[in-house]
Amino acid sequence: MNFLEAEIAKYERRIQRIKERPDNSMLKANTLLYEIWRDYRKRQLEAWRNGEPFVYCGGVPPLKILSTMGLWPIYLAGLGDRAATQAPEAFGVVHSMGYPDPACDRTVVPIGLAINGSIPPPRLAIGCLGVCEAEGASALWPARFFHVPTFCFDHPYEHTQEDLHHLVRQVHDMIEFVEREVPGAKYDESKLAKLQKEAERCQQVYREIYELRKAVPCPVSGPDVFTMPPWEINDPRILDWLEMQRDEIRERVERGHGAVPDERLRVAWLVSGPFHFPFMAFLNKLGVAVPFYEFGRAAALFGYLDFGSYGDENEYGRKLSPIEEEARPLNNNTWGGRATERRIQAIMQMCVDLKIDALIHYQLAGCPCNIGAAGILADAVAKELGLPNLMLEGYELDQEKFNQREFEQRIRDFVDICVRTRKKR
Amino acid sequence: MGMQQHQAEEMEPRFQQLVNANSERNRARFALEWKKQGRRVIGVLCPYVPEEVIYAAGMLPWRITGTWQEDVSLALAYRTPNLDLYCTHVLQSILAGELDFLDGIVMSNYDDDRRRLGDVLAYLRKFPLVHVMHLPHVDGENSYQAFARSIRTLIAVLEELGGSKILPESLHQAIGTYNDTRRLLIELYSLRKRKAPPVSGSEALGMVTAASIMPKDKFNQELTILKDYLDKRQMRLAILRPRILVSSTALDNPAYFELIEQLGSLIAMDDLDTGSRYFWNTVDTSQDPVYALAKRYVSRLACPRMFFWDKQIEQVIDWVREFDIDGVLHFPQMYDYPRWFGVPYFESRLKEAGVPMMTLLREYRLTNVGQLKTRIQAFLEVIRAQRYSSGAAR
Repeated sequence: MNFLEAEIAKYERRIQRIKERPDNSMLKANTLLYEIWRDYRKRQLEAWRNGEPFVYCGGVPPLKILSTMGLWPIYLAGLGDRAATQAPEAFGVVHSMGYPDPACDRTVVPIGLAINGSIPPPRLAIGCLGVCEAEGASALWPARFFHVPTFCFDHPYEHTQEDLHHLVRQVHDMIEFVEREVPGAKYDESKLAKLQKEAERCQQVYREIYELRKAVPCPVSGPDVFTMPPWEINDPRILDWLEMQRDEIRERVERGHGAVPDERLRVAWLVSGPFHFPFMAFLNKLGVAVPFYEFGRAAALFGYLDFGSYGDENEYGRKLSPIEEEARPLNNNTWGGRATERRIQAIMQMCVDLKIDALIHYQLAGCPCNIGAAGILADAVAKELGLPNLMLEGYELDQEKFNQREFEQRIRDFVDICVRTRKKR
Repeated sequence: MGMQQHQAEEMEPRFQQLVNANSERNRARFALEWKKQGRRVIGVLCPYVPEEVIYAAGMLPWRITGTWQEDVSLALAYRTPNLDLYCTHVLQSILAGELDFLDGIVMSNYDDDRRRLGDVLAYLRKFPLVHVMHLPHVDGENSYQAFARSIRTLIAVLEELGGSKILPESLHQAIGTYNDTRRLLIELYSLRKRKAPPVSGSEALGMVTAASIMPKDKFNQELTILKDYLDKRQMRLAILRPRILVSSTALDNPAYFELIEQLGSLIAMDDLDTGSRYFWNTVDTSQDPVYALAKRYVSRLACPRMFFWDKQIEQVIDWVREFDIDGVLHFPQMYDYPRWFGVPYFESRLKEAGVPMMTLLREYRLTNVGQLKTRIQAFLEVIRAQRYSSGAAR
């Protein structure tokens, strides 16, 4: 069974399980989310069988532009996040090719899947460094393996108008590159503008959801806090799903319903986690609510920092063109550029907004991007807000390196200490 | 004969002084002498920082070598053990006060690790200046323009620190001086093509690292004085085959090269940011200096951090031929993630080109000597056997 087939089977199982044994702590909107994912994988599988062009994306380039040009973008690290089951086989492949062991697994697992033929091969590869080098480079390696052309975005360090122009020039270059390399691919600005309008509405709903998460008790359970639709495609049901989610959460807030029975602590979870293990469900059992899961684009998506979203005219003091709108998100990841200042700011704001009592940093092994500044981030949060931090380190997909007992015990002890010592809200 | 011996007696100690300039005992010497003159010293944490700009500002660019000692406990308060070891050892040196003489640090967003090190340094506020330049990842006009902007920002930052303008003439002069350094080192390296080169790999590495911490005019003067002597010098290594090219990043300790050469080989060439890549391409003086610097630094011989991997690999393959290399030792530092991503491609390309190679991970400081010796010895044996079976002249 290839990865796409396995994904389809997974989502069908989940949909069936919800029908048979619904879990009332989880959002009902999840059914729609799983249907969206299942259908997306089915469409990908069909496209693969029909020989349609796939583009490997290391990092997140302008996906909307790529899809309006008739390509199927695969955000490799995002695919890796969902590949815990396939990871062992993928590790075997990459290590046998000489890739050293302790590296960011979410970026190397997709390479193993690609080389193994478990995901569609690329027609092109695009590397993007808005998050980190590993994500950017993760497209280059398979591109060399499959002998396909590559394009790399260079991400500036700051957020000035000049930096935006630098990115816009590259977006134009990317379009030229795709049109040249894929016969029949054509940039269509009217299609793009339409997708951006839909994305603007989605982002508005994300902001509303963020406001609702401020409620005490937390209306969203840990397993629901970090759900993502497939952004690579343009499925109008994504807006439906977000609105359903929002409405459900709002109704819980109005009822004063907390997703975690006897909520005794509110924790922000940062960066990654052992995705092969139900760690959020474990936190639920400890009475720990997780109003927020922090990732690089969270601040931009949920709107709690000054990054502009689609349609925003404040960030650069003017309305942006459709291509500028696609260049903008390339540079509004809190892990990119002069990140730690922005990331500290973003996390502190989020902690205050969502009434966070403590932070758990699951530092992804092999990720200098987050580990390299986790210490000063924790230090700043502790000094400015008086919040305790638990620093864990581990892999996301490598089950062999996971010690469940130690993981659970460290969290349990931390939670107990926080509950005993926290200040009254 | 007497004349030669006399020259050797005079020049050899001078040469050894240069080779050992970046040893732990000596490396701060030039910086401290500079400071005694009331001038500033700027620590450089990246091979892509255009040192000419710092030099033109009347400041000494000084490449930071991390501590070569085992203890990095101070740094581990801010980092974990599985991060780039060069950055960890540099942070340790800084926190231990060994680099308190620096008036500032300039670096680039070379990789995620260095980016984060820049964040930590800015947060700790140990230096009046910690400046991070944006370095593009791709070659091309967009990148030259972007890096030229970064350079202009650096100029403004240094002018503010120094309290005076960097004049165009000063920048021209600095570029001229640095180009002279590059030409002298390229000449020196061309001597390494000989069957019996006058310098060993460890000596060559010592000289290039000396260049990265000395005032360039002084370095140029020394190397010019030593030129004739080096042309005739008889190097001390007894075994000159196999000839090895070592490829790595942040390898600044010649003891690594001594270890390899003591096992019965000659490091005839390198692909190092602390070696050939430091000086290989000159700046075009016919263009606007800022643009010319940007173009030189972005498009020069690449390390895997730059996403034009093919250029780096093709250069290595060219060097294999030019320097009559028998094998390539790919020697990445542990946790050097950008280089790791390039390993499979690097290996497959060299294999296609018929170049024997081995990838061996190392620490930043010289350690695990027994293990290294075993692995490297095995690699050298393989190369010798291949040469024997192909009937190659010994």
